[in-house]
Amino acid sequence: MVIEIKTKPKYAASEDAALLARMRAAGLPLKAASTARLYRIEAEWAAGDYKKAAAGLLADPLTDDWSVGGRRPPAGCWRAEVWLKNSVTDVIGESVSEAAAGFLGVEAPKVRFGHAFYFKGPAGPAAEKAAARALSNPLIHSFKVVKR
Amino acid sequence: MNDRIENFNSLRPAELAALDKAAGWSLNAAELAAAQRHFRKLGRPPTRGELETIAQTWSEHCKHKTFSGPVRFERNGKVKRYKNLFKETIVAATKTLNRPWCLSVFKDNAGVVEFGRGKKWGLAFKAETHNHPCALEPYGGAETGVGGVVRDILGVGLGAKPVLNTDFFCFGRQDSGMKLPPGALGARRIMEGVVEGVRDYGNRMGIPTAAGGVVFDDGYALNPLVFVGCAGLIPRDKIDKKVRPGDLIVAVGGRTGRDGIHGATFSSADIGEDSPSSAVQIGHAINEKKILDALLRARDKGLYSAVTDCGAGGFSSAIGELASDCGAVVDLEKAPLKDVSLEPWEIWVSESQERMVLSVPERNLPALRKIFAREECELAVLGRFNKSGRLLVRFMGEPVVDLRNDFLHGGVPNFEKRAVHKPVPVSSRPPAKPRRPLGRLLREILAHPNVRSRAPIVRQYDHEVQGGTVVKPFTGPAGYGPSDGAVIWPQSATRDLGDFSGFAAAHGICPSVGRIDPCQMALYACDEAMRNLLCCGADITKAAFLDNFCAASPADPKVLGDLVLAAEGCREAALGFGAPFISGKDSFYNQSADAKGKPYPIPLTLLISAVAPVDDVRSAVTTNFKRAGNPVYLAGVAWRGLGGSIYNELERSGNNALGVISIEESARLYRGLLPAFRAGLVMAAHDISDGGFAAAAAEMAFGGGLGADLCPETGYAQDGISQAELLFGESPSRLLIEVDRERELAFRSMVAGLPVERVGFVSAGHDLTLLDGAGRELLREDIAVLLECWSGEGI
Repeated sequence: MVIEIKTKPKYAASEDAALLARMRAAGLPLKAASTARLYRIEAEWAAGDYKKAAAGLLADPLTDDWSVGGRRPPAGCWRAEVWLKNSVTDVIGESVSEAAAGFLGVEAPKVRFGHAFYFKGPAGPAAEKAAARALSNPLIHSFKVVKR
Repeated sequence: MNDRIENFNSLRPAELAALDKAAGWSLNAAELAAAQRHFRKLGRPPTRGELETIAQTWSEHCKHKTFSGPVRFERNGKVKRYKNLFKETIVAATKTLNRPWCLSVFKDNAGVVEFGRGKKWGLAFKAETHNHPCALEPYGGAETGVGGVVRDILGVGLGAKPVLNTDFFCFGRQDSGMKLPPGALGARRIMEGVVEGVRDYGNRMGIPTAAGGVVFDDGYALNPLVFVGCAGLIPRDKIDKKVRPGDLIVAVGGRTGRDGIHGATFSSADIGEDSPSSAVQIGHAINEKKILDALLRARDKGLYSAVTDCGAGGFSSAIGELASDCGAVVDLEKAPLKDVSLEPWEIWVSESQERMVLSVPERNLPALRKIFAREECELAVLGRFNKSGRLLVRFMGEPVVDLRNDFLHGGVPNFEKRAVHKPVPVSSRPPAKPRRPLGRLLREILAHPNVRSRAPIVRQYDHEVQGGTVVKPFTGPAGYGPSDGAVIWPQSATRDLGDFSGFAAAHGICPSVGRIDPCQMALYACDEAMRNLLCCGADITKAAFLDNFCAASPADPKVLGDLVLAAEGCREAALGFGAPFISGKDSFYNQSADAKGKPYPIPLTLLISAVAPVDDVRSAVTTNFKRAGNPVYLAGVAWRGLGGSIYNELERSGNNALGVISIEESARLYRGLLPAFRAGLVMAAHDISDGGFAAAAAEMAFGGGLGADLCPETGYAQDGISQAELLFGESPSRLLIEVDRERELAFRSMVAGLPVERVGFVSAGHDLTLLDGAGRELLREDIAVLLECWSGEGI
């Protein structure tokens, strides 16, 4: 199961601007861009546990929105996901695993950390290639595009 | 389980080479032959673990074979032979100087000099490179680079408390149109990743990051250089360590995984598309912080007799080094693992991060366990040190490694390497007149990548944590003035709020000079570092240097020749300034194949990091102008020559000569200025380097929010010097000084006989005005406009 944590739009201006600048430098003149944090949790949890972990552990109730189970990109947008490959040490995943075990009182789950990026603007193979080059390193990351 | 390579002793040279390549050892033919002879003599084949141990111990990264080996240097038809280049140049200078305040040099993880009131403390300082990992994965490479150098400080003596991280980078130009080979990361991508890595590790560990810099040059497009440093404080009685036979071998910190295998041997190879991903890791700063907290508590209770970090080579390197004067038995099955499928040899050489190895008297183990358990930091007893003179490593009782120390640490063959000097043609003709108006030229120089503000990088770092950063990366009321170094008051370590002893840390680096003359590059870099210390108000009579050399393959005689000259320059500078080198590191094979498959080497690069005490941090000096009406002095002589300057990148001057440097004269000048700094007569000081006189004056104005009216011609200068050389030349050993106008006479009498002359005044206006000798205006620029250029907001 994937939990997604996204900064609420009213607090995300600088985060979004930095991403837009990065993408422009990569040759991708987007109209808008935003980012989210992803946690892939492998555990035998009840559905309520994922929501509890998302709302109580991973999201800041004031500044973040959360969702469980993956999100489709909004109309006119495309979405890219970047994950650390399984062979790469995932420090954040390890920390979240320990924290989740303490928070829910369960066995430590396997957690991997990643990022989601939402783009409004040019799409297609060339844009995806530019995004992959700017946002991931094939040596340690997997990159995939999720279309609506 | 013992994984013997049964046919090793009968392999022919070509087969040995093929085996080496397949295994990723980076051993050369002579080394493979020496290993083969050794095992033939033993009458048995080696195990994989033994060859891995030999490859790690003999790697360039761990053994520094180039620097510590014999060299035949050919120059102008003459030959000079070195038995040990490093010892005969850099170490020789330190030995000759024999400073009593040097407490530990060239024998531990970092150099240590005396520090503080009552001489109760040692200041440990070390700078490392993490170039190859950063080329592959900038974020992880930079993070683990910081983690590694912090562990060097934790592992010096019985452990020092880190109080400052430094960072210096060499990246490809961000605006370069250079075509990259497949798999290579772009310059911007590398820079962003490296900066984020340094930021995340240092900030999370609670260590201030200050005293850094960046050089942009397309020579680094495929091989970025990432220098990370750390300074720490150690009680004087904790500087010595000695492994005692009978002590337990205790590993603390993170678990061992497959990550980082062959990092040490990988850094002895060129980077290419097939470089191993296992050489890349992601750091875990919080784990290292746990080690730091637990280790220093255990140190203060005297619970262990020696410590070192697990860096390149992992347990093999750490335990091998600690046991090099005695012996050890190690049982690898006791190591906590991330991945139980690891082969025993992989456990032995894995470079998983955040691990340290301690030598612990058995009676202290319960107390040690308690301290590490409180920090939720894992601890495992792996074996015991003994007097056998052997390194015996087992897994479930089966031997993985069984090597004698004398062979492992003394058996590496070191053959004489050829080095040649090929001089670069130098033109000393008068420079052509600039095509641009001087004002425009200054704006472009300030906007140049190598002069421009580093705020977008620096502002990501926490330079305030621990509450001891007195001179910060930016100074002045608005925080726009770039500092020449950092001044640290390490009260977080001394816990003595009545002792205002501090230290300054600064750098010098001049790769563009190195392209013309490598020896001059070393002199310039040492001089720049020394000047930066002085500009912070440090006691330069107790300055100490670190050297970090980075070069392409030393198998190329030209590369090695340049290195010889740079090492000789270091020796000359150290002796001239009376400033010993206390530690250093080298990184070779910084070259890759470019998009056309041709070798693309970096320019020879030498980073000089320097530290010196600041007797009272309350009298530290900053670069920003302080008060309108104060006189501004130019100290030092402006020499002809525009070689290596920013000006030459913008204008075709036709002159690539280097300004003359005399270390003796520079040392006399700096020592002569020191009493004025100590007497509090100097309100601000800034070194003249990239961009020359005009850029330095503008930077002092940014910080102060004040203008200045200056006439560089009234300062000391070589006869026949041109206007361009006066304004924008980068001849060394010069600084601009703002003097308290009420005490100007005292200043003048203190500097009498030195090449120091008034060149103008700080003004209350908003312009920087530069005049010629007849009082005619050469340029008048609005400081706010110059600041915009310097801040990267357009020319």
